[in-house]
Amino acid sequence: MKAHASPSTLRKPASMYMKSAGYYIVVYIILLFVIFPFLWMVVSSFKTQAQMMDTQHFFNFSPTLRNYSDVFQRYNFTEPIVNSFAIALISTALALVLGLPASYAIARYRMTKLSIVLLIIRMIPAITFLVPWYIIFSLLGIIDTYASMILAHMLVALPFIVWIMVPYFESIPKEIEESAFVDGSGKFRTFLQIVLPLCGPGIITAAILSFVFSWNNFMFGIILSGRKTKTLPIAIYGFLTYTDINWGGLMAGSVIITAPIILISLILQRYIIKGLTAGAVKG
Amino acid sequence: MPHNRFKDSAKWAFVSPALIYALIMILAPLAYTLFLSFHQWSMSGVDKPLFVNIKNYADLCKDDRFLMAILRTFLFSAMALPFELVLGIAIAMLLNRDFKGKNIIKSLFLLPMVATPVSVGLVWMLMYEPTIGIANTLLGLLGITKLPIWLGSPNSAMFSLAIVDIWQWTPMISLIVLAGLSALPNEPLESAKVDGATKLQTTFKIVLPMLAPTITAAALLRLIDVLKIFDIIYATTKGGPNFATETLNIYAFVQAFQYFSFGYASAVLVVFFLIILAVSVAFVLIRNKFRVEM
Amino acid sequence: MKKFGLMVLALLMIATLSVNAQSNKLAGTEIRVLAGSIPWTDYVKAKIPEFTQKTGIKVVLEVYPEEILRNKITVELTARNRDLDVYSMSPPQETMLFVKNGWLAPIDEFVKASPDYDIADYIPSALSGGEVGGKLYAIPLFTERPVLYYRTDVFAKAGLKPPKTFDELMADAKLLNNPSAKMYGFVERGAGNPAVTQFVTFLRGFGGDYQSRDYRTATLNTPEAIKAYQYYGEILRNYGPPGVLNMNWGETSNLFAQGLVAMRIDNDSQFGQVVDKNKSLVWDKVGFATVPAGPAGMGSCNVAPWALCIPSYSAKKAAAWEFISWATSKEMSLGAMQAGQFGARQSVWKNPQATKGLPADLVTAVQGNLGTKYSDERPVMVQVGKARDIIGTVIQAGIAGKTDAELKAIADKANAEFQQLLDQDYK
Repeated sequence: MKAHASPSTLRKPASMYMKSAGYYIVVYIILLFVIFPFLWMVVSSFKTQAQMMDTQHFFNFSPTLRNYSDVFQRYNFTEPIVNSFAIALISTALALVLGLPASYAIARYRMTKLSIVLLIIRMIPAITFLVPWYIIFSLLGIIDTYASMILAHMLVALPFIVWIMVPYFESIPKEIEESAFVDGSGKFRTFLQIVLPLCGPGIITAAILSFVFSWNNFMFGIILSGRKTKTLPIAIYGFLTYTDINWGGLMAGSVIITAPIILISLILQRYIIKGLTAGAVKG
Repeated sequence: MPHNRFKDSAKWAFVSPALIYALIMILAPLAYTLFLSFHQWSMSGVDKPLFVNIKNYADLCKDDRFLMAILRTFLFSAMALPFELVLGIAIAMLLNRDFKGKNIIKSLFLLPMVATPVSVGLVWMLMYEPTIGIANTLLGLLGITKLPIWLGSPNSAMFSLAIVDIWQWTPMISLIVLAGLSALPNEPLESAKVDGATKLQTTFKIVLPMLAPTITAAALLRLIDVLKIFDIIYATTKGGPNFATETLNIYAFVQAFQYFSFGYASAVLVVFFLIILAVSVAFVLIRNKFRVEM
Repeated sequence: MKKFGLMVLALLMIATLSVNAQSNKLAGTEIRVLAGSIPWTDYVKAKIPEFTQKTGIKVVLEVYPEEILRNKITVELTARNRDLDVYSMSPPQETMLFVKNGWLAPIDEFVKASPDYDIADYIPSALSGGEVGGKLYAIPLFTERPVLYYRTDVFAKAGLKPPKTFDELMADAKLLNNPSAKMYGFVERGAGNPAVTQFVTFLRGFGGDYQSRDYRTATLNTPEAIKAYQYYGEILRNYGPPGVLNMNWGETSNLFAQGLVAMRIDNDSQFGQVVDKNKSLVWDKVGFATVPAGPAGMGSCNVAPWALCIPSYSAKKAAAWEFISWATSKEMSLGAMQAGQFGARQSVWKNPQATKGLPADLVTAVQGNLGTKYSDERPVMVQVGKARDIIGTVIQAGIAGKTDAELKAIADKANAEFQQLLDQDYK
């Protein structure tokens, strides 16, 4: 054999295989760490409380759908799902209506001070808002309506939209707008008809992340939501009662909360990644 | 000058809706909190808030739990954030080549970041559970006999929570760096190669400096959020055991909604806000200085 | 004249209208009720249509877990929300503060006007949690007390009977503790704040208490109290499972249901989880016994942990009382007891039907406890939450195994802090 092939050609593929096998092992171990909690959530959601405790049979058990039927029948998750969707969707849309022009102006007129003001919103501890908002919203008579939840969630989304959109608008060459101005297009028309269509991917990113943050928000929901507007992160706590902790139900509830978010993220992943890295890609 | 086109009052028309909304939503709460921080009040409907001048702030200086909460808040950030950055960059370097399934991996990397924190807290709590949790079962299979009790011990609870945060946010840093790497212009890399630079040298000398603005921006947002961490602690330890995970946000919550000391809680919130503000300003200043030197 | 006639007519119409309204004046009213997620709520929720049919009052019920419920109520009452008519609260934790804050309306007048309701039927100690300054503010929903959960199979194998004294409890825990075989001797709450209501059984068993009888003096560092910290710490540290410092009732209940502990003490209201086939690996091997007594006698208590009350801002107090008096009536209490919520009314305890479906030894264990003189299990004061955290630090120091001198120093410090709170509350 040695006579037919030079040692180098023989050795190279073998070591490369070894190397790439090792590479894949490392990569997949990292991946396993990343997704394991999700796998565990799903696996546990098909277990009864008793099966959950049986550490001898972590994966070898007869799955039950009881937790899921509990989620919808006993704990009535349907309404919170609708509420969470509606609130996240509308608050995202409205936050975009406010946030996009603001981001554009910040980018074009270099209003850095303003972007700092919006960043400060993010620094205020959320507890600060709870009691004053409740008082204001009850004076307005909008407690336990979508309006109060939407107004609150918009405040979470707004700084995020600005953070993502300012670099995006900056990356658009000014010349495009200049030529529009020359053609007699007004500022707002230019913004709406020429600039915004160029920012599709950025807007999608900002929208997805705003949606996600609204969907996940817990603290505002505690105080501002009520029977008609209960959102999912609040509803899931129904599985913790005074005398019982229903782990299977908690996990089934968690699967239901995270599933839509995960689906959206997987489908639109390239937009999200692009948006997160707007500053870098611009370079 | 083309620039003049952008220097006019139209800009206020663009920003004022957002600005007005934001100011309405935050000014009243900020004023209310500041007002209450100089008062003593159990949220009573009978007794008005009692003006106590700066007593709340003076008490804060002597309050061990508050001082420890500040320390813990920084400790938590110091445990989580550097790990996320270093690990995130390292993983991005590792993934920065073509291989099968790269796109799927990138998609899956998004998941921890977007998952609902309350659920994340609950599932980790279940995994950490010393007797029925999978963490210790796996360690047991590896033959480890002295098993950690994770969230159950004051010594390990904070670190266990930091692991959750690291798990949640390292992939985001990786994705940012990865995207930056693929968007880098080729010439500097080529010329580095010609100069005989190793991969590691290229990374540190060329790639990271180019990505610095994005990474620092992400780090700043992360810093603010990590100082404010609430949902995950609330869902797992609620500040225990023995106050070992009581950060500033949790402490303010306890003072307000368990002790009904709303004036005192307001003082905690004001100081907390100022700390976040100061840290952020320091962060930006350091970044700017760094930039000038570059 | 015409004008006068019209006026008379109008007056007559108004009069008849108001008479009509009087006859079913509450029909059509809608009240909003906030309740904790407890089995009692599940039971009552299913019956609400019957109430609406009977009285014409519509009930909007919102159910939240304990902590979220408390946050919500706090914010709503701080904002003086008039749109909240009934809520459930925890009398031993909250009555004094809520009364001080003006968040509760006294209900004595309503009780007096409803002789059929038979308030005298209540166990006096259960009712006392809702009383402040001679006025009644809340109606208890059920009662609970600590009970010993033990493994019948483990005890039979070792030839043991449930312990009757603290010494026996310690000895049994030591004997049965075998971590290498995944069996721990004993478990109870170890997380500081929650442990306060369970540790008290031992504290009183050794002759100590949190406060003096007039509530004004802190007694956290008496020799009896130190003995109790040491005992509680020793049994949990040496014969308890790992991680006990972060354990509330949920964790200890889980451990017991997994079959990892031989004995557990906690409230009887949690028995459902460990005897349910779907929730417990040892569901058919659970025994119940009255908690052991200490050198100073029985330290356990009977408390009414949940009650219904009317916020002072409610605009529909009459309808609210209508709901409360129905939900806590004799019939409803009987039904709730059959569903596993031990009643606060004496009549249900006299009714042999009430405990029919429940484990017999549980009923015996509960009855063995009814003679105790204690009706509270936490400090009686306004700032209960803060006090619990302070006391919790000493309990945790005991579990962590501090030396006697260290423990005494920690207890002294806690006592001083606790005294400061008492001075503020009992001026």
